[in-house]
Amino acid sequence: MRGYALLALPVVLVFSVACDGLTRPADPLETDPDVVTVGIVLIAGEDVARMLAAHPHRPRTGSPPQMEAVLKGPGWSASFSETVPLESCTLAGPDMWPGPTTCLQAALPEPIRSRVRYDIAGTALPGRFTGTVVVPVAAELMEPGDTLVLPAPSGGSRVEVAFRYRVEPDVGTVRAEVPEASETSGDGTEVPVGLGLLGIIPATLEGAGADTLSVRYRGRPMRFSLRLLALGWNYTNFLAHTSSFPLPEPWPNFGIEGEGAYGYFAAAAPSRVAEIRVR
Amino acid sequence: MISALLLVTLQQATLAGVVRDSVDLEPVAFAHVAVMAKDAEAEVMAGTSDRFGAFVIPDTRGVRGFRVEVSALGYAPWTRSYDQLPAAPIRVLLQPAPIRLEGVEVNVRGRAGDPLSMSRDAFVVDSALMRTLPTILETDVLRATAISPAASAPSDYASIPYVRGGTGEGTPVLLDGVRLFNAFHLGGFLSAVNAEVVERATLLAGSGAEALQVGSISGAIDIATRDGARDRRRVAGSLGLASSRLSMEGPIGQSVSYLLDGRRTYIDGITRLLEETGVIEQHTPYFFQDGHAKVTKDFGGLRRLSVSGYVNSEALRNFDSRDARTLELQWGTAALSMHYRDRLGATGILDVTIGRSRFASDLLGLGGGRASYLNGVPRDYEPPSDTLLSGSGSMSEDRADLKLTWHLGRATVTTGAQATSFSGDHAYDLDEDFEADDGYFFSRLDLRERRWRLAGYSTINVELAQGLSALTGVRVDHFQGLTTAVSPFVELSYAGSWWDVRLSASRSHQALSSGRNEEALGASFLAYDLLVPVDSEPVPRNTQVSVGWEGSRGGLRLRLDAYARTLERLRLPALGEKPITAAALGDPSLWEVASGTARGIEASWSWKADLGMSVLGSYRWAKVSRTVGATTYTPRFHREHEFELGISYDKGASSWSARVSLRSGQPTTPLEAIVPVERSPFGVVQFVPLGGTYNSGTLPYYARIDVGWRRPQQVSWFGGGSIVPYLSVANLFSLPNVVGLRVERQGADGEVKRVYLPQLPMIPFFGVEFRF
Repeated sequence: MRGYALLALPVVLVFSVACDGLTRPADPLETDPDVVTVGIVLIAGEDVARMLAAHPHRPRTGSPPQMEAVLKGPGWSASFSETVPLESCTLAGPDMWPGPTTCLQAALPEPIRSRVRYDIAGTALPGRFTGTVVVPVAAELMEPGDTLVLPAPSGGSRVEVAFRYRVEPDVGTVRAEVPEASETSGDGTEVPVGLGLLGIIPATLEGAGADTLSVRYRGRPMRFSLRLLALGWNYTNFLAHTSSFPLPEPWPNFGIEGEGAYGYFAAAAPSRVAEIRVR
Repeated sequence: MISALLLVTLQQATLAGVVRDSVDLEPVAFAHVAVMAKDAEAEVMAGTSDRFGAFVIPDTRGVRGFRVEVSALGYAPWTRSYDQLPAAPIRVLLQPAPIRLEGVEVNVRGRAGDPLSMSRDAFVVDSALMRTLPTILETDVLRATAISPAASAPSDYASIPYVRGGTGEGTPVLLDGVRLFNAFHLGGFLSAVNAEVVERATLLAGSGAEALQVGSISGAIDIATRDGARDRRRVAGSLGLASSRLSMEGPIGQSVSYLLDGRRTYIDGITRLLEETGVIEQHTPYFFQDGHAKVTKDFGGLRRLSVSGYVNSEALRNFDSRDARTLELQWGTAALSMHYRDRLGATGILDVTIGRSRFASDLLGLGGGRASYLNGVPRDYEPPSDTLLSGSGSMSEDRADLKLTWHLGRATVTTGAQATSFSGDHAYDLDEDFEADDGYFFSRLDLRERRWRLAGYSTINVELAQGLSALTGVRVDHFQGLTTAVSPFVELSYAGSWWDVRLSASRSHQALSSGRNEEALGASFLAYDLLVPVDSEPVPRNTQVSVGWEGSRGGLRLRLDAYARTLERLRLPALGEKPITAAALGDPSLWEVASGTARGIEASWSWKADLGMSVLGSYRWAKVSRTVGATTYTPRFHREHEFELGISYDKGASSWSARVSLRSGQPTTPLEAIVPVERSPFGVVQFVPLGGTYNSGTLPYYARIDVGWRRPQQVSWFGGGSIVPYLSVANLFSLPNVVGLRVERQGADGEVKRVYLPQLPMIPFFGVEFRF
């Protein structure tokens, strides 16, 4: 009997190890493949509006969303009828997005304005959706002035630009942006620099009214522009909930309601541009 | 009233005594004591020995020449005949009957594997039952109580059970009559009390009957330690995979016994060794240790005095030169109690308990360090110096209990008074950076509160005619600065020939709030709690009704219970937008006045066959809810269905055991859509997973099988004794149970999937117990 027991124990252990899944494998999402998500950010001063729509629960090889949507401004409406390349809507490549995506554009009769309310209404495969946003007031860039000349950093690899700004309460997020940058090459010509090479820190400001922008210095005289983008609360609320855990209902206001689409309908306003020269 | 009772009791003829084990002279509880006429078979009077082995049987005047029969599970019956009633308490020495399961362990008494038979009010786990369940790291008292249908462990990592959908702070763990704070080690995986010294753990599921004197809103776990052996010095202990324990006991003179025990883990040392040999990447700088001492003085008869002291400490020291962030935690619990018992008149028993318990913690988290590596070799290192988390805290309870019990013919009257002072002083601060990354466990906390609680209670248990009996009682609590609350209890029962049925209703109050946020994912991995007295009205309360049936035929015993309860005036955190990622330990001063409900049906059964097999099982269905503000939800720890089965089988010298757990899934928030969003400025796409109604979905079901083997062997070492090698496997087949889910990109194609947070995988444990 003892022999059987001694044999049984290792057999059980070996069998256990053989069956050892350790952890439960990941499961598919098991969610509705027809779900449509939209992301819209109206930019004050621009006379087009773009909407990135996706079927996030479908394989990337699936068909992109088919939908109708109309943006309504003060006394006008414009249809998101034009399909434009994905790069018009996002810096992220198609491989970064789950499922098939499409970038839709609406030509507007007038530029987007701050403090103005805009509505959206549309129909996607699951049903209708509506949305509302009020464009926030642009951040006031108080310092630096229109142009700031800085010496090349001695012994350092980064340029630091102190700046002050003021925002209204309708602004949820302030983002520092460098719309363009260039370096002066040895022969005196200006060569554009990709923004990814500049290592801009911080991208998102804490809203305290003063901050310091840090930009990578590559050993050559450079010039870049700085502006602040003030984003409203619909976008801020949405981005605050990026997570790997489901957000239970009721959700905060993201600007979109209805069964037709999930996502956000947001707006932003850019500040004036300051030019920074590093010599 | 007391003087009247004294007058009555002095006029009665009473048989009193103490039942003891004939080998080590330790008290035997739950022994049935019957008094019958010398030549008759029918009982005249009967009683049951209490936790100290004492019994008092009044009103024996009509008996001329009588016989006393005492029986207890695991012992040979004891019979004596008397012509006249002994004036002094009698001493009943029960001889252990051969128990094949643990027959060589002469100190193991009572029946193995039947917690139903010992008390109708409770689920009693004795040392024998603990050893018939597969060992998970160590023989564990709290983990064993979870086989009760009333108890539900929130995860494999937290052994502390939730009782009938109640709250954690509502179920105190008592050690020899005083509260033991955070009665576990390893975050909750292992109970803090060394199983070597546990006589029994009693799970009280309600708030009436025996629980009335506890005064909690969700029952209690009452752990009683053994007295030391009175016959000779004994040494026992175990060497296990991650810890060892040792106990020593024996007599001091004729009437005093002592019991000393200690335990220490070597997880830190073993993992350090594994790290140095390259088996694992990082060691675990964690340790726990605990010690306990008990001295008992028997003055003769029922009179006795015992002093019990317990202390433990734990630490996680993560100051590693390769870490850019470090965390150092130290915490510990201590408890001291003194119990004095004496006879009060002919039929009365006086119990006095005073005690103090305290928990203290100290935390320090540093950040801001920097480390870089090239091919796994450190290149440069800047040690962390920014304080991300710091703080310390303590909570303590001082208590004095006075209890008087009179056995009056067909009635038993209990009256008691209690004074309790509870203090909570917690101050923790943390930096925003820490909050962002490690918020699963901690949040800011600055609380200081101390309050007295004065209570009086009384119960009367009356045997009515024709099998009917009534047990009723009331407890009056004065919560300093808050209110005075009345907590009534009533129970009617009927006993048939082989079955009984009962109906009860009770209410209870308790003025404590907990820092635990049960909805936080971290609460599944960390069982610790920080308690403070509530600082304003209303005082939390529980109202419960239950109906139960119990029957016994042959070796089978079956118990059925149904209950419904409401928990009012609780202090619970508002769900907030992200309950799952909230801190497991929050600030209860920010909690809202909330409520809860629970209703369920429980079945438990025990069966012992002559072939060496015993079975203990339970099934429970329940619905539990919490309401905070306008939101009602199912708490995350709850499962609607739970089935537990423990089987032990003795064959030859070996003992085999298995434990099977089948449970429905815990609630989770279902996913409606993952919404991608680009995060500036580098084109990174993240997700906002939009979910449905909170906890309206269900995680996959839970299934687990643990198996164990033990083989007691007699040895002649050190004058004779036994050793018991054991081997067990937790979660045989490594069934992939889960404690939560999240959505993540998986695989080369970046598909978003449901990724599960795992429960315990298959882990083997082995070790050896010894007793000399």
